[in-house]
Order: sequence, then structure tokens, then C-alpha cells
Amino acid sequence: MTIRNVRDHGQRYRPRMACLKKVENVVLEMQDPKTGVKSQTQRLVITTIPHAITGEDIVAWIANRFKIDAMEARAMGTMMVAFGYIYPLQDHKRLILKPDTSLYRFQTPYFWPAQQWPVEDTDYAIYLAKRNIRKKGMLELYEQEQYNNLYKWMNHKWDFIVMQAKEQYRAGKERKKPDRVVFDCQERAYWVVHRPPPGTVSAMDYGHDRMVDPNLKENKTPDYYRRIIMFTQQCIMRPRVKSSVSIGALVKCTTTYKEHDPFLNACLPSNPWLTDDVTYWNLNMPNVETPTKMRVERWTFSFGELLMDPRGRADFRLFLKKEFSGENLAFWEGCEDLKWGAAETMKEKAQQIYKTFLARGAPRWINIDGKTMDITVKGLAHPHRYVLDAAQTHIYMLMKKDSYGRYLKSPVFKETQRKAIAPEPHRFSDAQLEQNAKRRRPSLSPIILRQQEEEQKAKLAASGPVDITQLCRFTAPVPHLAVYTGICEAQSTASPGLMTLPNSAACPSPISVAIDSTPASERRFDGNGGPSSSHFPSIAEASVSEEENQPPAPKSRMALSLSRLLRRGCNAPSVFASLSPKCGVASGGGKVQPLGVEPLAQPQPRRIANFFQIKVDIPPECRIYPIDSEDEEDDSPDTARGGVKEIICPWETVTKQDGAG
Amino acid sequence: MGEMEQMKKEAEALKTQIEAARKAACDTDMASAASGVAPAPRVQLKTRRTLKGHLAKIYAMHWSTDNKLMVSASQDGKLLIWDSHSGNKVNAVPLKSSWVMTCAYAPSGNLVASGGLDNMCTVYNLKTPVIKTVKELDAHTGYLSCARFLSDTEILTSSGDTTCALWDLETGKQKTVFLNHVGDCMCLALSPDMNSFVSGACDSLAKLWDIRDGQCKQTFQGHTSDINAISFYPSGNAIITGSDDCTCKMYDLRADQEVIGYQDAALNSGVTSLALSVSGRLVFAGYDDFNCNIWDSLKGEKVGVLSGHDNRVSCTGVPVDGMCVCTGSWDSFLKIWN
Repeated sequence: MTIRNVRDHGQRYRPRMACLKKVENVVLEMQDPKTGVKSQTQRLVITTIPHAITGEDIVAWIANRFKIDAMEARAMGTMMVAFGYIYPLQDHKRLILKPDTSLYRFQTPYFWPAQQWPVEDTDYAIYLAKRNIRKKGMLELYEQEQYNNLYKWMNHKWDFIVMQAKEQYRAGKERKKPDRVVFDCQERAYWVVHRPPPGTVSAMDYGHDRMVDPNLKENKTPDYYRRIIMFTQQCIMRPRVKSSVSIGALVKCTTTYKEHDPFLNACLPSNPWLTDDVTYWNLNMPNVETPTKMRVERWTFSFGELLMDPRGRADFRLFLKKEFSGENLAFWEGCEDLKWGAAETMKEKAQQIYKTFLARGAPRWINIDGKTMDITVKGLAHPHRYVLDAAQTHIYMLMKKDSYGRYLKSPVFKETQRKAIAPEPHRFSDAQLEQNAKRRRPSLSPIILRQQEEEQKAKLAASGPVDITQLCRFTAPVPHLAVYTGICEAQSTASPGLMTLPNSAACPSPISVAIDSTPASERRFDGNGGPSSSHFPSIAEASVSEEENQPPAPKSRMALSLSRLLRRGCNAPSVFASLSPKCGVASGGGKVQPLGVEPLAQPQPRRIANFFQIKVDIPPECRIYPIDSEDEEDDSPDTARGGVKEIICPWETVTKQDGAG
Repeated sequence: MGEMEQMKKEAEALKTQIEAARKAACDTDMASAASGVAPAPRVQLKTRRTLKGHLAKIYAMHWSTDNKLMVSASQDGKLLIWDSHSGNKVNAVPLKSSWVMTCAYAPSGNLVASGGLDNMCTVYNLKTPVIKTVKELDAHTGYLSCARFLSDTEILTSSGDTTCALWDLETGKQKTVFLNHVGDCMCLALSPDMNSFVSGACDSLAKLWDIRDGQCKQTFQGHTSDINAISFYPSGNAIITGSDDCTCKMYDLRADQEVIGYQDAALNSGVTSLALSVSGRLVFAGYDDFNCNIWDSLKGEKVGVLSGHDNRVSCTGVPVDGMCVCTGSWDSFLKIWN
């Protein structure tokens, strides 16, 4: 870290002090003998005070001068007093303007607040020392404290300070009495402004300085005008929505959410801040089994709301599974993963998405129009975070316009609605409220919460029926949740025992499974062979690899021969089309080796996905994803060569170009 | 000089043109559009928690997305992470530079960031047993006034050097720099769809930026002094700004103009911070006069006051579930109101 000047940090322009110049002009006007504030000579005790003005006169003058009402004039006057341009003669510590006959006087320009520099501590020390000399014990408590602090801090200069104080005191004594009184008042007022007593707030305390001088007027060069012209032209060209439409939409948004605003409507069962009862938060955890009615209602407000709520998205996913159109949501989630995930895995993720969703004959092909597909594919030659934006938007709109509407009318949603909880409002007595307050516990640390969530996900993944269409790295609950909740160390915590992805209750016969193949069954059959592919590679690859580094156990003989047999895979497009879940999809990224990609940190979960692929006699060119590197372990080199690179990403320079998008 | 005169004339002509275009689009105002809406009830909130622990002025606070944790930054050189419901301090992050002006909590809850007069944005990882500095983002030439995480890999900052920047947290470099303001940028707010953000600056303009292409898409005029606070309306189609000229304003992004202003003759202190309730109906604005005023965003009326601080309210925040509002002040206390 470079050492920077602590004192002014390169900033010189005191922000709200930009008004000081303007205030000075006004004060000068006020002091004009003809048109300014009426001044009078007052007698206070034995001294006469020249040029004193009353508060009410000040207020009246300001109100008249600026044509504003009395209240605003009073506020403005108070501001002037707070800055120190006018000081009160009585009650000198309270820097406000009293609109009555209290007396004020104009401060001498010598003591006006300067915009360029803050007030020096040395001067303050001299002032306090001077007062100390004049009369011991004259300093107030806070002043004494300050004085002691300054003494400690400026000890090296103390002789100089004392000498200066003595000089000034002596010089002061030589003045005439009225002058001395006036000067003392002025000086005292100055320091009340700049070193306020504790508990009061100073107008000088504005925070930090600004970097750009607020008083600076930009030079009107041709360039300046050119910029303005360009900008205004762009402004004009931009389409404008009629106010009635857009304001109407704003009003509608507010009224729609009115019931859901805890400040406007009581929330059920009770607001934890009011009753110290955290049931509300427990009922509304992100992935709770049964959502509350209010939460379900929010899903109906907009498609965005549904997707943003993890429970809502899960419900939607369930619905899509029944409709066999889960690939849209999976693709959308994949794009989100790409957008927000780590940079190092981006290229590979993009290619994975391409192979899974976009390539011709891809296992989970999504339906986007030709133009968007063109743009996307071109963009994928140089993948970056937003390369799939166009396609993602298209799919989002598709889901929004089509699936969302149907979802809201579907039995899945109706069932969820029916089961949703509508908790009874709590009715705590005072005694109970006190008890609640006593029983307040710190909430679970988010680390623990995250672990719990992951365990739950893992359990869900292991037990419940899972739509095989959803089995893809992008929709397995653990990885995607990790994406949206941040750094995915999650992968490694999914228990290794979970190799068996669901949907594989029994161990079906190879062929029947192949018709309806799922990686789970393959994996189950595979037993302990190889690391589980349920550890989908995701953002933090490195952290995952530890899990996967178990060397693959030697495959059973049967498995090996079967794999060899079925190696060529049911990859004919027609076959794939009929099989909605595509086996290889779910197997982690290690399976398909796009050209030019470095091998993943984790050893590839080999020979798992293609286990049950039916051998079909198809020419190699038509082979598409995911013929994969399991072939490597085979003896026959030619098969290996033929097997690996099937889905050709069009941006990769390979001889075989067909079969690819 | 002839060229300049010409350009000046052209600029003026374009200005009138856009004024006309805006007027043409403005076929109604908020008052009539909201006339059918019932007025908001008077909101009387009480302090539910006072979080004591800082030793100097609190400059910034930010809620975590889990609605219970929040981070606050104070010029005593500490970031404190609070479990607001129980009042416990979960973590204390000592800062290298005590002149901190902003803090931010990542949506994932894994990271927090701070920045200030050291011109850097420092990102800390909360998940390791001992809190570690993940990155120090050092490229601004002015103080850091505001920072907001987009994800665990990207963060947006606004700075006193009049620029905003999008950083890649993995490389620690700036991905995009947003140049257009002519005064110190004081605040920024992310849109709900994360594709754009707005920034407010000391040139009294609020600008809408597209995160991807780094361009300023819209500029909103109307304030007469520094804009200190800015926030998106929940629908993402409007923004609310708070300024040193003692007013707040709502600007409609689609109609490209100011919709309504929140001001009161009795209010003579600048707005330091803003937060909106979940529905957007209530605007909580913190002022220099130690209070936080609650405005009805549709009607433009004041519907409540939060008084309790002994010094300027420097930061305000409403958590994602909207259950309460937190105010932080120069009196070193944070208060949670409901």
C-alpha cells in the first residue's frame, strides 16, 4: 500500500463549504449601513455594544431580501450563525437564531470560516493558554480536557504556544476596554463554532472533503458543447414511454406488494422484531418443504419472483418435468451459472452448455430461432460471461410467456397452493413477550446453515424421485444452489455415498435401462467404480478434486465387457430424440472432452455414462455427445480415436464439421 | 469563436427539443396516477434494538441477504458484523485504514468489502476461521464512496475520482470503468435485474449505466446539490435519489423524467441515506438533522419520523424481507426500528 498524505488525502474542497462564498456576499449586504440590517447600540451591564442587531430584525431582513417566509428565513439565519458569520451575545454557546430581541453581532472577517483550510490546533492551544493565563480555572471541563490533550500532543511546541499566548494577552491588555470586550466576544464565538462543546453538533463537521472543486466552473470549450450535443441527441433518440403507462406501472407495483410489506401489513404469524418469536423466519427458509400462502402468492406476481425464490423454482421445475420441457429451465440456470461463476471454468462451461443444449442433436436441445442460434454460436468462438445472453433472454421469454402461464393453472401449482401454510397470528401476552425476549438466541451461523442446506439437498437427491430430464450439472440441487449462494465449496461436501443418483430404485437390466437410461442406474451398477459423477464440476473445481481423487476401483469384468459392447452408444439422433433424458449428460464434465480443453482437475468419471448405451450401427460422423473418453481405456486405438470428439463445437477447428451446431 | 457559438446554439436547440419530447411523454403526473390509492397510514416505528459497539462515527451499513446479519463500518477502524436479532457481534474485522466510508455484504454471505479514503476497496472472506483479506482493489485515484457486490466474483465501486468501476475479484483488476460524471460519485445502486446500475454524484446528476457495455444510458437532472443517496424502486423502473439540497426525488426510467419530489419547507438539512420498503411505498430517508423521515412514495407526504439519534443519520438500510429498518449514525449507534 502506498503511503498517502494522511492529512488531506488529495482532497481540498470542503463540500458544504461551497456555500460559504455565497453566505459572505449576503453578510456583506446585511452590513450595508443603508440597506442592511438596522443596527443599534445596546447597553449591556456597564459596556456599550456598538452595532448589535436583534434576531427578529435579521429574520425580517432575510425574508424581505429573498422573498421567503419567516420559517425559512429563520433557518437561513441559523445557518449563518452556525457557520459563525453572526454570533449571539447572550447564550453564546447555542448557535441558533432566535427571532426575538436577543442580540447578535456580525463577526469580523478575520474570524470568518475559510473554505480553503480547516482550523489549526495550534491556534486553539494558544487561545486556551491565553484564557488560562488571564484567569486560572476559567476553562470549562471540556476545554480543560482539550487543553490537556493538546499539551500532550503538542508538547514540542509548548514553549512557542505559551509565548504566543502571553504576547497576545499583553497586546490585548493594551487595547481600550470596549475593543477588548468585542474582540474577546468575537474570538470566543469563533472557537464555539470551530471547537464545539461535546454533545453539540458543529456545522463545520461535514464529513470528508470532496475531490472536485464544487465552485469550479467548467470551461465552455467546443468539446464541452460537443459532448452535450452528442448526449442530448442520444437522449432524444431513446424511446420514451408515456408517463401514464410507466407511472401507472409503478403505482401498480406498489399496490400489488402492499400486502407483503411488513410495514404496512402485519405478517403472520408475527413479526420477529416485534414479538421476538422467530417462527416467521423458520417458516420462510429458502428451501422449506411447505411454503406459506403469502410466499406462494408472490410467485403469481411475476415470473421473476417465481424464479428468484428457490422453493418456487423447485416447484416450477417439478411442473416442467411433468411436461418434459425441463431443458429450458436447465439451460437458463446454466447461463446464470456462466454469468456469475468463476472465470477459469467459463470456457469449459460454455462449451458444456453448447453441447448439452444448443448443438444439433444435443441431448437437451432447446428451441431457439435461427438468428439467435447464429449469434450465440458465433459468440461461443470467444466465450465470455455474457455470450449466452441472447439465447438466455429468448428462453426466459419463452418460459415466461408460455410455461409460466400454464404452471399457474397446473395441478402442481394448485397442489402447492392447497398445501401452503397460513399460520395463525400469534397473540402473545406481555408476560410471554418478555419471555420471548429472554429466550432470544443468536441465529445459526450461515456456515452451519449452508451445511445443513447441503445435507438436505443431498438427502433429497438421494431419496426423492428426481426427474431424469433434470439430471444435468446445472440442475442438480447442490451445484446450482451453490452458484447462487456463492463460492461452491459445496461439491466436496456432498457425501460420496451419494453416487447413486436417484431414479434407480432397483438395478434394472442393462437394456431396459438403456431405453430409459439414467446415469444413476449406471452408477449404481458400477458400484464403487470410479468417483461419483454426482459431483458435478462447478465453480470451484479445485476444491472438488480432493473428493474425486480416489483412484477408480478396478471394474468388474462384466462391467468392462458390457461397456466395450455398448461403447458405440445409442447416439443416433433418432434414438436420442426418443430418450428424453440423455444419459451422458449427467455425467460430469469430464466425459466429453472438447478439443483444446485442459483436463479437469478431477479425474474423469469414466465409463459410467455410456455403460448402457445400445450399440447401434451408425457412422462415426453422426455420433454426437456424449461419446467420450471411456474409450481410452479400451485396447483398440481406433475406437478411441473415433470415440472422443463427437460433438464438434463449430469454433473448434476439426475436420469433421457435421453433427455440430 | 463562430464555431463555438454555433455549437452553443445547437446544444440549446437540442435541449429544448428534449424538453419538448419529455413534456410530450408526460401526459400525467404521480398525483393523478396515485389518486386512487389510499393514503399510507401514519407509520410509528419504535426502536427495537440499539446496537452498541462502535467507538466512532458510523459511516455505512449493509444488510446481508439472510435478513439477520449486517455489516457496519465506522471510523474507529472496524467493520462489525452483527446478528441483528440477538444483538450479538458475530465478527469484527480490523481495517488497515480507519477512514472507511462504505461497506458491503456479498449476496452469498461469504464476503464483505470496505473502502474509504485509502482509495482502495478491500474484500474480506468471512468463511475462513480467521477472516482474511481476499483482495485489495487498488486503481481508483480518489476515495471510495460506495461498493456493491454483484456476486462473489464481481463488485461495483464508485469513487471520488468521478468514476465508477466494475472489478473482477479473481484477478483484482477493473473490468469496466464508467466515465461520465464531472463531480465526485457519492453513491450507487444495483438494479434488481443486475444488468444496470445508477450512480449519484456531486455534480447533482444521477446516471443510469449499462454494466455490460459500460455506457451511460440516461442522465437525470433536477437536484441542485450533491446527490448522497440513491436507490432503485422494487420494480426496477424508477429510482429515488436523496441530496444535500434537502430533497429526495423519484425519477421514472422509462419516461426519462422526474416523477415526484419529497420535500418540506421545515426540512433544512441534507439527505444522507435512503432505503425503501419492500413494496416501495415507504421511503426511509436519513437527514443531517439527526432524524430519519418516512415518506409515502406515491403521495409525496411525510408519514413518520424516526428520532432517537444524537448526531447525523449517516446510513439507512432495509433487509430483503423488509421486516425492519436500520439506521446508523455519527453518534456511533445503530438502531433497528419496526
